[in-house]
Amino acid sequence: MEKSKLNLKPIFLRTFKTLLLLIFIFFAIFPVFWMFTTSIRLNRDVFSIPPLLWPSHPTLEPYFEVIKERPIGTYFLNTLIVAITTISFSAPVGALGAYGFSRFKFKGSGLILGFILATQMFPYVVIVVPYFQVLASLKLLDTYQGLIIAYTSFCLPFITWMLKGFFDAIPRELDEAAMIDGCSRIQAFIRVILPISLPGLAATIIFAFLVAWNHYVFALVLAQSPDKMLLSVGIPTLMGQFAFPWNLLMAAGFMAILPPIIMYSFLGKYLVKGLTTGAMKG
Amino acid sequence: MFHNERYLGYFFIGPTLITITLVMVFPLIYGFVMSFFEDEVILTQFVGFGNYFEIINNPKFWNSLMITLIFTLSSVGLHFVLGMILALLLNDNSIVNSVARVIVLIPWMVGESIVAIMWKWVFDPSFGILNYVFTKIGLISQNIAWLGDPRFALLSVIIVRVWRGFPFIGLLLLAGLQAIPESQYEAATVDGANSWQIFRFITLPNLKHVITVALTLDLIWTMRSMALINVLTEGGPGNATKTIPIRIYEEGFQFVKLGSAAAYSVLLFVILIVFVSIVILNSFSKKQD
Repeated sequence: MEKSKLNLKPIFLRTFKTLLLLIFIFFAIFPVFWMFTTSIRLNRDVFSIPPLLWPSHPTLEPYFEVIKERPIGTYFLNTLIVAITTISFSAPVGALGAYGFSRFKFKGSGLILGFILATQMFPYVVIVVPYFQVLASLKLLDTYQGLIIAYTSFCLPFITWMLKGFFDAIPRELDEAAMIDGCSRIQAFIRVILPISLPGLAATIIFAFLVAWNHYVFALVLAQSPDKMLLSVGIPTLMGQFAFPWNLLMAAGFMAILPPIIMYSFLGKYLVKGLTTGAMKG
Repeated sequence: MFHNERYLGYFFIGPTLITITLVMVFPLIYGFVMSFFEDEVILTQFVGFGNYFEIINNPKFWNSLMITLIFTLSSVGLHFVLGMILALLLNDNSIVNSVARVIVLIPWMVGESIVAIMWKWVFDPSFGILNYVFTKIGLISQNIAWLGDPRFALLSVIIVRVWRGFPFIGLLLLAGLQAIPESQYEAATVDGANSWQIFRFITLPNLKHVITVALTLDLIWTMRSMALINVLTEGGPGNATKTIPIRIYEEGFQFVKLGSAAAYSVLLFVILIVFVSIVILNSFSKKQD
Protein backbone atom coordinates (compact mmCIF):
# COMPACT_ATOMS: atom_id res chain seq x y z
CA MET A 1 0.00 0.00 0.00
CA GLU A 2 1.31 3.43 -0.90
CA LYS A 3 1.83 5.77 2.00
CA SER A 4 -0.34 8.44 0.42
CA LYS A 5 -3.40 6.17 0.47
CA LEU A 6 -2.94 5.36 4.13
CA ASN A 7 -2.59 9.02 5.04
CA LEU A 8 -5.74 10.29 3.36
CA LYS A 9 -8.33 7.75 4.47
CA PRO A 10 -8.18 8.39 8.23
CA ILE A 11 -8.42 12.12 7.64
CA PHE A 12 -11.54 11.74 5.52
CA LEU A 13 -12.99 9.41 8.10
CA ARG A 14 -12.23 11.82 10.96
CA THR A 15 -13.76 14.73 9.10
CA PHE A 16 -16.83 12.72 8.19
CA LYS A 17 -17.27 11.57 11.78
CA THR A 18 -16.90 15.09 13.14
CA LEU A 19 -19.37 16.41 10.61
CA LEU A 20 -21.88 13.70 11.46
CA LEU A 21 -21.46 14.41 15.17
CA LEU A 22 -22.05 18.10 14.57
CA ILE A 23 -25.23 17.27 12.70
CA PHE A 24 -26.43 15.16 15.61
CA ILE A 25 -25.63 17.90 18.09
CA PHE A 26 -27.32 20.50 15.91
CA PHE A 27 -30.41 18.32 15.70
CA ALA A 28 -30.40 17.88 19.48
CA ILE A 29 -29.87 21.54 20.34
CA PHE A 30 -31.70 23.50 17.68
CA PRO A 31 -35.26 23.15 19.01
CA VAL A 32 -34.12 24.35 22.44
CA PHE A 33 -32.21 27.22 20.87
CA TRP A 34 -35.27 28.02 18.77
CA MET A 35 -37.42 28.07 21.86
CA PHE A 36 -35.09 30.54 23.49
CA THR A 37 -34.82 32.92 20.55
CA THR A 38 -38.59 32.90 20.11
CA SER A 39 -39.02 33.75 23.76
CA ILE A 40 -37.19 37.04 23.34
CA ARG A 41 -39.17 38.30 20.36
CA LEU A 42 -41.94 40.80 20.01
CA ASN A 43 -44.94 39.55 18.08
CA ARG A 44 -43.91 41.01 14.77
CA ASP A 45 -40.63 39.11 14.96
CA VAL A 46 -42.42 35.92 15.91
CA PHE A 47 -44.64 35.95 12.87
CA SER A 48 -42.18 37.43 10.42
CA ILE A 49 -41.76 35.76 7.06
CA PRO A 50 -39.08 34.70 6.44
CA PRO A 51 -38.45 33.71 10.06
CA LEU A 52 -35.39 35.37 11.57
CA LEU A 53 -32.78 33.27 13.26
CA TRP A 54 -32.31 35.96 15.85
CA PRO A 55 -34.87 38.71 16.58
CA SER A 56 -34.21 42.19 15.27
CA HIS A 57 -35.16 43.66 18.64
CA PRO A 58 -34.52 41.13 21.39
CA THR A 59 -36.58 41.84 24.47
CA LEU A 60 -37.51 40.27 27.77
CA GLU A 61 -41.05 41.60 27.43
CA PRO A 62 -42.60 38.17 26.78
CA TYR A 63 -41.27 36.97 30.13
CA PHE A 64 -42.94 39.80 31.99
CA GLU A 65 -46.12 39.39 30.02
CA VAL A 66 -46.46 35.68 30.56
CA ILE A 67 -46.05 36.12 34.28
CA LYS A 68 -49.01 38.49 34.16
CA GLU A 69 -50.94 36.09 31.97
CA ARG A 70 -50.55 33.01 34.17
CA PRO A 71 -49.48 32.42 37.76
CA ILE A 72 -46.13 31.05 36.64
CA GLY A 73 -44.63 31.88 40.01
CA THR A 74 -47.29 29.76 41.71
CA TYR A 75 -46.71 26.85 39.34
CA PHE A 76 -42.99 27.16 39.98
CA LEU A 77 -43.41 27.21 43.73
CA ASN A 78 -45.83 24.30 43.72
CA THR A 79 -43.52 22.17 41.61
CA LEU A 80 -40.58 23.05 43.85
CA ILE A 81 -42.49 22.21 47.02
CA VAL A 82 -43.74 18.88 45.74
CA ALA A 83 -40.42 17.81 44.24
CA ILE A 84 -38.30 18.80 47.22
CA THR A 85 -40.63 17.38 49.84
CA THR A 86 -41.00 14.10 47.99
CA ILE A 87 -37.24 13.72 47.61
CA SER A 88 -36.60 14.80 51.20
CA PHE A 89 -38.71 11.91 52.33
CA SER A 90 -37.75 9.37 49.69
CA ALA A 91 -34.00 9.86 49.86
CA PRO A 92 -33.41 8.91 53.52
CA VAL A 93 -36.00 6.13 53.46
CA GLY A 94 -34.64 4.87 50.17
CA ALA A 95 -31.06 5.03 51.38
CA LEU A 96 -31.92 2.99 54.48
CA GLY A 97 -33.79 0.48 52.39
CA ALA A 98 -31.04 0.27 49.79
CA TYR A 99 -28.48 -0.36 52.49
CA GLY A 100 -30.68 -3.03 54.03
CA PHE A 101 -31.11 -4.81 50.72
CA SER A 102 -27.46 -4.48 49.93
CA ARG A 103 -26.04 -5.80 53.19
CA PHE A 104 -28.67 -8.16 54.56
CA LYS A 105 -30.15 -11.34 53.19
CA PHE A 106 -33.89 -11.77 53.48
CA LYS A 107 -36.23 -14.51 52.48
CA GLY A 108 -37.69 -13.49 49.15
CA SER A 109 -35.49 -10.44 48.77
CA GLY A 110 -35.01 -11.36 45.15
CA LEU A 111 -38.73 -11.18 44.66
CA ILE A 112 -39.05 -7.89 46.49
CA LEU A 113 -36.20 -6.36 44.55
CA GLY A 114 -37.66 -7.62 41.31
CA PHE A 115 -40.91 -5.99 42.26
CA ILE A 116 -39.20 -2.71 43.05
CA LEU A 117 -37.52 -2.83 39.67
CA ALA A 118 -40.86 -3.60 38.07
CA THR A 119 -42.40 -0.51 39.66
CA GLN A 120 -39.99 1.57 37.61
CA MET A 121 -41.80 0.31 34.59
CA PHE A 122 -45.43 0.90 35.45
CA PRO A 123 -47.22 3.33 33.23
CA TYR A 124 -48.32 6.24 35.36
CA VAL A 125 -51.69 6.15 33.63
CA VAL A 126 -52.22 2.70 35.08
CA ILE A 127 -51.88 3.90 38.63
CA VAL A 128 -53.39 7.36 38.24
CA VAL A 129 -56.94 6.06 37.90
CA PRO A 130 -57.06 4.41 41.34
CA TYR A 131 -55.04 7.29 42.76
CA PHE A 132 -57.68 9.74 41.62
CA GLN A 133 -60.40 7.67 43.24
CA VAL A 134 -58.56 7.15 46.52
CA LEU A 135 -57.35 10.72 46.89
CA ALA A 136 -60.79 12.04 45.98
CA SER A 137 -62.41 10.05 48.74
CA LEU A 138 -59.72 11.18 51.20
CA LYS A 139 -60.29 14.78 50.11
CA LEU A 140 -56.63 14.97 49.09
CA LEU A 141 -57.10 16.17 45.54
CA ASP A 142 -55.54 19.54 44.78
CA THR A 143 -53.37 19.33 47.87
CA TYR A 144 -49.64 19.19 48.34
CA GLN A 145 -50.02 16.08 50.50
CA GLY A 146 -51.90 14.20 47.79
CA LEU A 147 -49.31 15.09 45.19
CA ILE A 148 -46.42 14.18 47.45
CA ILE A 149 -47.92 10.79 48.22
CA ALA A 150 -48.38 10.15 44.52
CA TYR A 151 -44.90 11.34 43.62
CA THR A 152 -43.40 9.13 46.31
CA SER A 153 -44.80 6.13 44.49
CA PHE A 154 -42.24 6.55 41.74
CA CYS A 155 -39.46 8.41 43.54
CA LEU A 156 -38.95 5.99 46.40
CA PRO A 157 -38.55 2.76 44.38
CA PHE A 158 -36.29 4.57 41.94
CA ILE A 159 -34.01 5.95 44.65
CA THR A 160 -33.94 2.62 46.50
CA TRP A 161 -33.01 0.72 43.36
CA MET A 162 -30.29 3.12 42.24
CA LEU A 163 -28.72 3.44 45.67
CA LYS A 164 -28.67 -0.31 46.17
CA GLY A 165 -26.56 -0.51 43.04
CA PHE A 166 -24.13 2.05 44.40
CA PHE A 167 -23.95 0.42 47.84
CA ASP A 168 -23.37 -2.97 46.27
CA ALA A 169 -20.25 -1.55 44.67
CA ILE A 170 -18.78 -0.66 48.06
CA PRO A 171 -16.99 -3.66 49.60
CA ARG A 172 -18.51 -5.04 52.77
CA GLU A 173 -15.08 -5.14 54.36
CA LEU A 174 -15.44 -1.41 54.93
CA ASP A 175 -18.59 -1.83 56.98
CA GLU A 176 -17.05 -4.68 58.90
CA ALA A 177 -13.85 -2.78 59.56
CA ALA A 178 -15.87 0.10 60.98
CA MET A 179 -17.89 -2.23 63.18
CA ILE A 180 -14.79 -3.96 64.44
CA ASP A 181 -13.56 -0.53 65.39
CA GLY A 182 -16.60 -0.20 67.63
CA CYS A 183 -19.27 1.33 65.41
CA SER A 184 -22.76 -0.04 65.44
CA ARG A 185 -24.18 -1.07 62.09
CA ILE A 186 -26.11 2.17 61.86
CA GLN A 187 -23.05 4.22 62.65
CA ALA A 188 -21.08 2.31 60.04
CA PHE A 189 -23.77 3.18 57.56
CA ILE A 190 -23.84 6.88 58.39
CA ARG A 191 -20.21 7.52 59.02
CA VAL A 192 -18.55 5.26 56.48
CA ILE A 193 -20.80 4.12 53.68
CA LEU A 194 -22.77 7.30 53.07
CA PRO A 195 -19.73 9.57 52.66
CA ILE A 196 -18.11 7.13 50.25
CA SER A 197 -21.20 6.84 48.15
CA LEU A 198 -21.74 10.60 48.01
CA PRO A 199 -21.23 10.97 44.22
CA GLY A 200 -23.70 8.20 43.51
CA LEU A 201 -26.05 9.61 46.12
CA ALA A 202 -25.86 13.06 44.58
CA ALA A 203 -26.38 11.77 41.05
CA THR A 204 -29.39 9.74 42.14
CA ILE A 205 -31.01 12.61 44.00
CA ILE A 206 -30.48 14.97 41.08
CA PHE A 207 -31.87 12.43 38.65
CA ALA A 208 -34.88 11.87 40.91
CA PHE A 209 -35.43 15.61 41.30
CA LEU A 210 -35.42 16.03 37.52
CA VAL A 211 -37.92 13.23 37.06
CA ALA A 212 -40.18 14.76 39.69
CA TRP A 213 -39.77 18.28 38.29
CA ASN A 214 -40.78 17.17 34.80
CA HIS A 215 -43.52 14.79 35.80
CA TYR A 216 -46.85 15.26 34.07
CA VAL A 217 -49.47 12.54 34.54
CA PHE A 218 -50.08 12.78 38.28
CA ALA A 219 -49.88 16.55 38.09
CA LEU A 220 -52.48 16.60 35.33
CA VAL A 221 -55.03 14.46 37.13
CA LEU A 222 -54.44 15.19 40.79
CA ALA A 223 -53.90 18.97 40.80
CA GLN A 224 -56.35 20.72 38.54
CA SER A 225 -57.09 23.85 40.51
CA PRO A 226 -55.00 26.83 39.41
CA ASP A 227 -53.51 27.50 42.81
CA LYS A 228 -52.05 24.02 43.13
CA MET A 229 -51.23 23.43 39.49
CA LEU A 230 -47.69 22.42 38.58
CA LEU A 231 -45.44 23.82 35.84
CA SER A 232 -45.63 20.85 33.52
CA VAL A 233 -49.40 21.14 33.41
CA GLY A 234 -49.86 24.88 33.82
CA ILE A 235 -47.75 26.00 30.89
CA PRO A 236 -49.65 24.08 28.21
CA THR A 237 -52.80 25.83 29.39
CA LEU A 238 -51.47 28.92 27.62
CA MET A 239 -52.38 27.22 24.39
CA GLY A 240 -55.76 28.70 23.69
CA GLN A 241 -58.36 27.79 21.14
CA PHE A 242 -56.93 29.64 18.18
CA ALA A 243 -53.68 31.47 17.71
CA PHE A 244 -51.12 30.75 20.39
CA PRO A 245 -48.95 33.51 21.86
CA TRP A 246 -45.80 31.71 20.82
CA ASN A 247 -43.33 34.10 22.38
CA LEU A 248 -45.14 33.92 25.71
CA LEU A 249 -45.37 30.14 25.49
CA MET A 250 -41.69 29.82 24.73
CA ALA A 251 -40.81 32.22 27.54
CA ALA A 252 -42.87 30.16 29.97
CA GLY A 253 -41.34 26.95 28.67
CA PHE A 254 -37.85 28.33 29.00
CA MET A 255 -38.48 29.37 32.58
CA ALA A 256 -39.74 25.88 33.31
CA ILE A 257 -36.61 24.23 32.00
CA LEU A 258 -34.27 26.67 33.66
CA PRO A 259 -33.81 24.70 36.92
CA PRO A 260 -33.08 21.43 35.11
CA ILE A 261 -30.74 23.17 32.66
CA ILE A 262 -28.89 24.98 35.44
CA MET A 263 -28.57 21.79 37.46
CA TYR A 264 -27.46 20.01 34.36
CA SER A 265 -24.82 22.57 33.46
CA PHE A 266 -23.14 22.07 36.81
CA LEU A 267 -23.69 18.39 37.34
CA GLY A 268 -24.30 17.07 33.86
CA LYS A 269 -20.84 15.67 33.42
CA TYR A 270 -21.26 13.51 36.54
CA LEU A 271 -24.58 12.24 35.30
CA VAL A 272 -23.09 11.40 31.92
CA LYS A 273 -20.09 9.77 33.54
CA GLY A 274 -22.41 7.69 35.69
CA LEU A 275 -24.45 6.65 32.67
CA THR A 276 -21.52 5.82 30.46
CA THR A 277 -19.74 3.77 33.07
CA GLY A 278 -22.72 1.52 33.30
CA ALA A 279 -24.48 2.74 36.42
CA MET A 280 -27.64 1.48 34.81
CA LYS A 281 -26.47 -2.06 34.32
CA GLY A 282 -29.75 -3.23 35.81
CA MET B 1 -24.04 -10.17 58.32
CA PHE B 2 -23.49 -10.57 62.01
CA HIS B 3 -25.58 -12.92 64.12
CA ASN B 4 -27.00 -10.36 66.51
CA GLU B 5 -28.21 -8.35 63.56
CA ARG B 6 -31.08 -10.52 62.60
CA TYR B 7 -33.74 -7.96 63.21
CA LEU B 8 -31.65 -4.96 62.31
CA GLY B 9 -32.10 -5.73 58.66
CA TYR B 10 -35.83 -5.29 59.01
CA PHE B 11 -35.25 -1.90 60.54
CA PHE B 12 -33.45 -0.82 57.40
CA ILE B 13 -35.88 -2.07 54.82
CA GLY B 14 -39.00 -1.62 56.93
CA PRO B 15 -39.83 2.01 56.14
CA THR B 16 -39.17 1.46 52.43
CA LEU B 17 -41.36 -1.61 52.21
CA ILE B 18 -44.18 -0.11 54.22
CA THR B 19 -44.18 3.08 52.20
CA ILE B 20 -44.07 1.26 48.87
CA THR B 21 -46.90 -0.99 49.96
CA LEU B 22 -49.02 2.01 50.88
CA VAL B 23 -48.28 4.28 47.91
CA MET B 24 -47.79 1.73 45.18
CA VAL B 25 -49.08 -1.75 45.92
CA PHE B 26 -52.33 -0.64 47.47
CA PRO B 27 -53.35 1.68 44.60
CA LEU B 28 -52.43 -1.00 42.07
CA ILE B 29 -54.64 -3.58 43.71
CA TYR B 30 -57.35 -1.00 44.13
CA GLY B 31 -57.12 -0.21 40.43
CA PHE B 32 -57.39 -3.86 39.57
CA VAL B 33 -60.51 -4.17 41.70
CA MET B 34 -61.95 -0.99 40.18
CA SER B 35 -61.80 -2.53 36.74
CA PHE B 36 -64.58 -4.91 37.67
CA PHE B 37 -67.05 -2.18 38.49
CA GLU B 38 -69.09 0.14 36.41
CA ASP B 39 -69.79 3.60 37.52
CA GLU B 40 -70.97 7.06 37.04
CA VAL B 41 -68.20 8.75 39.05
CA ILE B 42 -68.84 6.54 42.07
CA LEU B 43 -68.21 2.87 41.46
CA THR B 44 -71.36 1.11 42.41
CA GLN B 45 -72.15 -1.73 40.12
CA PHE B 46 -70.17 -4.92 39.95
CA VAL B 47 -69.96 -6.04 36.34
CA GLY B 48 -67.34 -8.72 36.49
CA PHE B 49 -65.50 -8.78 33.22
CA GLY B 50 -68.09 -6.50 31.63
CA ASN B 51 -65.68 -3.61 31.18
CA TYR B 52 -63.13 -5.87 29.55
CA PHE B 53 -65.66 -7.30 27.09
CA GLU B 54 -66.83 -3.83 26.19
CA ILE B 55 -63.30 -2.71 25.50
CA ILE B 56 -62.32 -5.71 23.42
CA ASN B 57 -65.47 -5.36 21.34
CA ASN B 58 -64.80 -1.69 20.75
CA PRO B 59 -62.81 -0.94 17.59
CA LYS B 60 -61.44 2.12 19.37
CA PHE B 61 -59.34 -0.18 21.52
CA TRP B 62 -57.84 -2.04 18.59
CA ASN B 63 -57.17 1.23 16.80
CA SER B 64 -55.39 2.58 19.86
CA LEU B 65 -53.46 -0.66 20.20
CA MET B 66 -52.24 -0.41 16.64
CA ILE B 67 -51.28 3.24 17.04
CA THR B 68 -49.49 2.40 20.27
CA LEU B 69 -47.54 -0.39 18.57
CA ILE B 70 -46.59 1.76 15.59
CA PHE B 71 -45.58 4.63 17.83
CA THR B 72 -43.58 2.44 20.20
CA LEU B 73 -41.81 0.21 17.72
CA SER B 74 -40.90 3.06 15.35
CA SER B 75 -39.64 5.30 18.11
CA VAL B 76 -37.65 2.60 19.85
CA GLY B 77 -36.24 1.36 16.56
CA LEU B 78 -35.08 4.83 15.59
CA HIS B 79 -33.74 5.42 19.09
CA PHE B 80 -31.47 2.46 18.64
CA VAL B 81 -30.36 3.24 15.12
CA LEU B 82 -29.56 6.87 15.90
CA GLY B 83 -28.31 5.99 19.36
CA MET B 84 -25.93 3.39 17.99
CA ILE B 85 -24.50 5.81 15.46
CA LEU B 86 -24.17 8.46 18.15
CA ALA B 87 -22.47 6.00 20.50
CA LEU B 88 -19.98 4.99 17.82
CA LEU B 89 -19.24 8.65 17.10
CA LEU B 90 -18.70 9.44 20.78
CA ASN B 91 -16.65 6.37 21.54
CA ASP B 92 -13.17 7.74 21.74
CA ASN B 93 -12.52 9.65 24.93
CA SER B 94 -11.38 12.94 23.53
CA ILE B 95 -12.11 16.22 25.27
CA VAL B 96 -14.39 17.24 22.42
CA ASN B 97 -16.36 14.08 22.94
CA SER B 98 -16.73 14.52 26.67
CA VAL B 99 -18.23 17.95 26.04
CA ALA B 100 -20.35 16.60 23.20
CA ARG B 101 -21.72 13.87 25.41
CA VAL B 102 -23.03 16.37 27.91
CA ILE B 103 -24.47 18.71 25.28
CA VAL B 104 -26.21 16.01 23.32
CA LEU B 105 -28.20 14.82 26.33
CA ILE B 106 -29.99 18.15 26.67
CA PRO B 107 -33.23 16.98 24.98
CA TRP B 108 -33.63 14.46 27.73
CA MET B 109 -33.41 17.16 30.41
CA VAL B 110 -36.47 18.95 29.13
CA GLY B 111 -39.81 17.74 30.47
CA GLU B 112 -42.10 16.02 27.98
CA SER B 113 -44.80 18.65 28.08
CA ILE B 114 -42.28 21.43 27.39
CA VAL B 115 -40.74 19.36 24.58
CA ALA B 116 -44.22 19.14 23.11
CA ILE B 117 -44.69 22.91 23.28
CA MET B 118 -41.27 23.45 21.72
CA TRP B 119 -42.01 21.19 18.80
CA LYS B 120 -45.56 22.44 18.34
CA TRP B 121 -43.95 25.74 17.41
CA VAL B 122 -41.45 24.08 15.10
CA PHE B 123 -44.31 22.21 13.44
CA ASP B 124 -46.58 25.23 13.09
CA PRO B 125 -48.03 25.08 9.56
CA SER B 126 -47.90 28.79 8.78
CA PHE B 127 -45.02 30.23 10.78
CA GLY B 128 -43.05 27.24 11.95
CA ILE B 129 -39.43 26.88 11.02
CA LEU B 130 -39.75 23.36 9.63
CA ASN B 131 -42.18 24.24 6.86
CA TYR B 132 -40.14 27.30 6.00
CA VAL B 133 -36.91 25.35 5.63
CA PHE B 134 -38.50 22.45 3.77
CA THR B 135 -40.29 24.65 1.25
CA LYS B 136 -37.17 26.77 0.84
CA ILE B 137 -35.02 23.78 -0.04
CA GLY B 138 -37.75 22.38 -2.23
CA LEU B 139 -38.49 19.26 -0.19
CA ILE B 140 -42.18 20.10 -0.10
CA SER B 141 -44.26 22.33 -2.35
CA GLN B 142 -46.67 23.69 0.23
CA ASN B 143 -46.96 23.91 3.97
CA ILE B 144 -47.75 20.68 5.76
CA ALA B 145 -49.95 20.60 8.83
CA TRP B 146 -47.60 18.28 10.69
CA LEU B 147 -49.85 17.84 13.66
CA GLY B 148 -53.18 18.71 12.11
CA ASP B 149 -53.08 16.40 9.11
CA PRO B 150 -54.03 12.81 9.97
CA ARG B 151 -51.51 11.55 7.42
CA PHE B 152 -48.60 13.21 9.18
CA ALA B 153 -49.62 13.44 12.83
CA LEU B 154 -48.33 10.06 13.94
CA LEU B 155 -45.08 10.57 12.06
CA SER B 156 -44.59 13.96 13.67
CA VAL B 157 -45.24 12.60 17.12
CA ILE B 158 -42.72 9.84 16.49
CA ILE B 159 -40.14 12.41 15.38
CA VAL B 160 -40.53 14.31 18.63
CA ARG B 161 -40.30 11.16 20.70
CA VAL B 162 -37.17 10.08 18.84
CA TRP B 163 -35.62 13.53 19.29
CA ARG B 164 -36.11 13.36 23.02
CA GLY B 165 -34.97 9.81 23.55
CA PHE B 166 -32.10 8.98 21.22
CA PRO B 167 -29.34 10.75 23.20
CA PHE B 168 -30.13 8.77 26.34
CA ILE B 169 -30.13 5.46 24.47
CA GLY B 170 -26.97 6.59 22.72
CA LEU B 171 -25.21 7.12 26.03
CA LEU B 172 -26.38 3.77 27.38
CA LEU B 173 -25.00 2.10 24.27
CA LEU B 174 -21.83 4.14 24.69
CA ALA B 175 -21.42 2.65 28.15
CA GLY B 176 -21.57 -0.78 26.57
CA LEU B 177 -19.09 0.18 23.87
CA GLN B 178 -16.60 1.49 26.37
CA ALA B 179 -16.63 -1.84 28.15
CA ILE B 180 -15.51 -3.81 25.12
CA PRO B 181 -11.89 -4.85 25.53
CA GLU B 182 -9.50 -3.34 23.03
CA SER B 183 -7.89 -6.74 22.59
CA GLN B 184 -10.93 -8.08 20.76
CA TYR B 185 -10.73 -5.30 18.20
CA GLU B 186 -7.02 -5.89 17.77
CA ALA B 187 -7.47 -9.58 17.25
CA ALA B 188 -10.14 -8.96 14.66
CA THR B 189 -8.02 -6.44 12.77
CA VAL B 190 -5.12 -8.87 12.74
CA ASP B 191 -7.47 -11.45 11.27
CA GLY B 192 -8.27 -9.02 8.48
CA ALA B 193 -11.85 -8.10 9.39
CA ASN B 194 -13.33 -4.96 7.83
CA SER B 195 -15.36 -2.37 9.76
CA TRP B 196 -18.72 -3.95 9.07
CA GLN B 197 -17.49 -7.39 10.16
CA ILE B 198 -15.99 -5.94 13.30
CA PHE B 199 -19.32 -4.30 14.07
CA ARG B 200 -21.31 -7.45 13.47
CA PHE B 201 -19.09 -9.99 15.17
CA ILE B 202 -17.33 -8.03 17.91
CA THR B 203 -19.32 -4.93 18.79
CA LEU B 204 -22.89 -6.21 18.65
CA PRO B 205 -22.42 -9.46 20.57
CA ASN B 206 -20.60 -7.58 23.32
CA LEU B 207 -23.47 -5.14 23.55
CA LYS B 208 -26.13 -7.78 24.00
CA HIS B 209 -26.67 -7.18 27.70
CA VAL B 210 -26.76 -3.41 27.42
CA ILE B 211 -29.10 -3.63 24.45
CA THR B 212 -31.48 -5.88 26.34
CA VAL B 213 -31.62 -3.56 29.33
CA ALA B 214 -31.93 -0.43 27.18
CA LEU B 215 -34.53 -2.03 24.93
CA THR B 216 -36.67 -3.08 27.89
CA LEU B 217 -36.50 0.35 29.47
CA ASP B 218 -37.18 2.16 26.22
CA LEU B 219 -40.12 -0.02 25.23
CA ILE B 220 -41.75 0.62 28.56
CA TRP B 221 -40.99 4.31 28.72
CA THR B 222 -42.25 4.84 25.20
CA MET B 223 -45.34 2.71 25.53
CA ARG B 224 -46.43 4.46 28.69
CA SER B 225 -45.62 7.94 27.41
CA MET B 226 -48.62 10.20 27.62
CA ALA B 227 -47.46 13.77 28.24
CA LEU B 228 -45.86 14.22 24.85
CA ILE B 229 -48.83 13.19 22.76
CA ASN B 230 -51.37 14.79 25.05
CA VAL B 231 -49.82 18.22 24.69
CA LEU B 232 -48.90 17.82 21.01
CA THR B 233 -52.18 16.54 19.65
CA GLU B 234 -54.40 15.27 22.50
CA GLY B 235 -54.64 12.08 20.49
CA GLY B 236 -55.91 13.82 17.38
CA PRO B 237 -56.60 14.70 14.74
CA GLY B 238 -59.52 12.36 15.19
CA ASN B 239 -57.91 9.24 16.56
CA ALA B 240 -54.69 9.45 14.57
CA THR B 241 -52.37 9.61 17.57
CA LYS B 242 -54.60 8.13 20.24
CA THR B 243 -52.34 5.68 21.98
CA ILE B 244 -53.68 3.53 24.79
CA PRO B 245 -52.43 5.83 27.57
CA ILE B 246 -54.31 8.69 25.91
CA ARG B 247 -57.40 6.48 25.69
CA ILE B 248 -57.11 5.74 29.39
CA TYR B 249 -56.99 9.43 30.21
CA GLU B 250 -59.91 10.11 27.90
CA GLU B 251 -61.98 7.24 29.24
CA GLY B 252 -61.32 8.03 32.87
CA PHE B 253 -61.34 11.79 32.95
CA GLN B 254 -63.26 13.04 29.96
CA PHE B 255 -65.90 10.37 29.73
CA VAL B 256 -65.59 9.86 33.50
CA LYS B 257 -65.82 6.09 33.26
CA LEU B 258 -63.27 5.18 35.87
CA GLY B 259 -64.04 1.48 35.92
CA SER B 260 -63.54 1.26 32.18
CA ALA B 261 -60.34 3.28 32.42
CA ALA B 262 -59.10 0.92 35.11
CA ALA B 263 -59.80 -2.04 32.84
CA TYR B 264 -57.90 -0.34 30.02
CA SER B 265 -55.01 0.18 32.41
CA VAL B 266 -54.90 -3.48 33.31
CA LEU B 267 -54.86 -4.37 29.62
CA LEU B 268 -52.03 -1.91 28.96
CA PHE B 269 -50.13 -3.45 31.81
CA VAL B 270 -50.61 -6.92 30.36
CA ILE B 271 -49.44 -5.75 26.93
CA LEU B 272 -46.34 -4.24 28.50
CA ILE B 273 -45.53 -7.44 30.34
CA VAL B 274 -45.89 -9.39 27.10
CA PHE B 275 -43.42 -7.11 25.34
CA VAL B 276 -40.92 -7.14 28.17
CA SER B 277 -41.15 -10.91 28.41
CA ILE B 278 -40.47 -11.25 24.71
CA VAL B 279 -37.37 -9.13 25.01
CA ILE B 280 -36.06 -10.86 28.11
CA LEU B 281 -36.82 -14.39 26.95
CA ASN B 282 -35.19 -13.60 23.63
CA SER B 283 -32.01 -12.50 25.32
CA PHE B 284 -31.93 -15.55 27.57
CA SER B 285 -32.37 -18.00 24.74
CA LYS B 286 -29.54 -16.37 22.85
CA LYS B 287 -27.30 -16.73 25.87
CA GLN B 288 -27.65 -20.48 25.68
CA ASP B 289 -25.93 -20.64 22.30
